[in-house]
Amino acid sequence: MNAQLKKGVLELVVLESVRQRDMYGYELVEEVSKVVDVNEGTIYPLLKRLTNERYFETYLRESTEGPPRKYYHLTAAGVLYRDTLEKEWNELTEKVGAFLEGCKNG
Amino acid sequence: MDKNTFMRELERSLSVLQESELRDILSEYEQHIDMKVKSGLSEEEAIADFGSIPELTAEILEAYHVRADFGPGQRDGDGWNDGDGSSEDQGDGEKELRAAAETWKARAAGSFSELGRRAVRLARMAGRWVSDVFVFWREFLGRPFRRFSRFWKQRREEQLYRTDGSMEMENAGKKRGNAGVSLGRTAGSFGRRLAGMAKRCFNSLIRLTVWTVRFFWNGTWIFLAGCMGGTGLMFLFGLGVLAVLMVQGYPVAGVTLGCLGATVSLFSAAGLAMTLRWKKKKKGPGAVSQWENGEAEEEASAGTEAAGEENRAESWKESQEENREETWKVNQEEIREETWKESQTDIPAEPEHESGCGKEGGQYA
Repeated sequence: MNAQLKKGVLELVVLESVRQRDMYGYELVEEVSKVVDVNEGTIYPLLKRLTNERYFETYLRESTEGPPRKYYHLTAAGVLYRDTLEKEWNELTEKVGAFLEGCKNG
Repeated sequence: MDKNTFMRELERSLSVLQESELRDILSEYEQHIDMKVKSGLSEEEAIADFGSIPELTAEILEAYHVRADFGPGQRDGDGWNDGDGSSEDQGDGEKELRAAAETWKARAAGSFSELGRRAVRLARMAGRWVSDVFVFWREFLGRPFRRFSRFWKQRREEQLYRTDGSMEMENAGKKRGNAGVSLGRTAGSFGRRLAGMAKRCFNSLIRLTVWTVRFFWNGTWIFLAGCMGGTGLMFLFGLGVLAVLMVQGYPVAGVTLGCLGATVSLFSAAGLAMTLRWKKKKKGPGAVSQWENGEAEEEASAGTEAAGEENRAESWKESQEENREETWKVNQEEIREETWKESQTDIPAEPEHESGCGKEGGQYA
């Protein structure tokens, strides 16, 4: 998949993943990688940016497998932002799909 | 690249961030690498999934709205830390230089302020020393002149105190051969006479002016009063005539009443005019203003005024004598006090002047 396209949907996928349940970094990378094949180094910066913009909030939870893990939780602002992205995505895919369909049919 | 190398590189690349943020980011990446290794990958493979460190660092810094090329350890166009002098070592060197410059600046400022304070202190001490020297020489050089001035003042007071008009002081001055003393005294008395004459002339001029103004003011009102009084008298005569005619049956009642009113008004106005005169203030039980009475009473008032003048002259003389005596006593005390002070100093005292004044001073003490 084109890198720019992947980069465009990455944010929506991350927001949606965290909306379903709180996740820590490695878990979220694994989850997103199932949908979009992106460089793992790209996700952590994205998580940091969304946290700085108050769409995510973090907390530590003790783990039996090692040191405490930092979990990400979607805030109310994050939910609104995620809904906006989803709406834009739907509009884009609908228009692009209709355009392509129209071009195909001539 | 192993985990430690990767972590070190990442830490140096993100050193522009706050310590807490940096620790948070590094711990996440370290945890991720550890989980990757636990899942079966090697450290190199786990690190390879992150991509290149510069791109990774740029994306992380973008999340903080920080320029990727800002701060030490970032790319300078050639590569990572290739020793061309544009890495953090240069930044550290600049910091050290800046710190050293600040230290020197603070030390220099402190030194200059200390120097300034010392300079001010020295200037004050120098000023006080110069002032003391000046005062000493002024006292030393002025001593003979002060003695002379005190002697002259003493002689003058003695002369003023003496009321018999004798010229002993002048003769004593001449005996000693001090021509300057008599010349000065003569000049002083001439000046005093001149000042007295000028004062008397000025007072006379003032009195003349006041007299002139008063004369014309009162003359005007007296003239008006005379005119109105004379007119009133005429109306009074007419009133009499009309009254007779009215009694005889002539219809002159209105005119008669008019004449009566005019007579009353004119006499009232004359009385008012006389009250507006400028009167002299009464000086004593016997003294009467020249303008309030006629010339027949002038002699009596002049005699009374002369008696009053004599009394006033006598009381003035007495008060002057008392003042002179007190002044002379005060001056004597001051002279004795200054003489005693000077006798306490190291400078040898001048030989005492033997004169009649010393003996006479005892006479009046």
